[in-house]
Amino acid sequence: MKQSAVELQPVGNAIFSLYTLGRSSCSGLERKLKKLPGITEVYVDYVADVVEVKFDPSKIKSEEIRSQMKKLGAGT
Amino acid sequence: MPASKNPRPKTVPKSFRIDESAIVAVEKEAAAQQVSPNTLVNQILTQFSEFERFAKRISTVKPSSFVFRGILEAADVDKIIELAKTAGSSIPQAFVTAKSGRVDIDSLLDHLRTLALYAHLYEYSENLDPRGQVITMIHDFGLNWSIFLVHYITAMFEQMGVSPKLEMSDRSVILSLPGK
Repeated sequence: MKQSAVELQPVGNAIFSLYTLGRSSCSGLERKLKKLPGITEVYVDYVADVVEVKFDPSKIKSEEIRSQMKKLGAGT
Repeated sequence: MPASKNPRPKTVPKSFRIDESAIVAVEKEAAAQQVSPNTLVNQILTQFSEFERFAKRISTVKPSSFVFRGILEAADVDKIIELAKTAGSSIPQAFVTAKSGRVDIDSLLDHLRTLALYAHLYEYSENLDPRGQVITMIHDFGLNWSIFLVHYITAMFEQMGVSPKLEMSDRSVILSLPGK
């Protein structure tokens, strides 16, 4: 039987804690993160104080997202 | 996106009577976070449905991160390894069985994601491509916590006959699983 070739695209998923990022509020973070290249979905959980991000690992790494979150957090 | 499964789950309208003091607290917190009370109530209930109702079955307690870090630093490494092996061969199985009714690689990985989402035991990052899956857990609880995680995860997957590659530092553990 001939098998269909389905190519699996690289997928990244990361969960960041707002505690360790030193942010007490995540206001506006979702909108700002979505503007970054390679980020496909952002979900902010205001109860668990975490941000979950889906991304294309060929375009952005989780360390870069973390670093961007720290920058975006400053001044908000 | 609870537990990384469904980005936009279906919502349904429901009506409940709630203690006035509870809804006042929710509304106050929602205003502080600049979100709707609906969003907050939904996330409170999701946390209960995805984590709390199963966590209580394994008698979960919630020490502060300061206390947790201090206990880990004071603990004997051999005891930590022994505890991690015992816990890793029983707790994840009990948790995922209660949650999903099955124990397999995907449900165990979901357990690791859930611990990041709701227990703040580490930050979690996974990269999935045709060569396999690489999961990085970053924390600030010190080397003893990395040692615990390595032995906990090893024991967890041993139950499935899987031996993942694990690397660690004093603030991270990297888990690599080959592609299916």
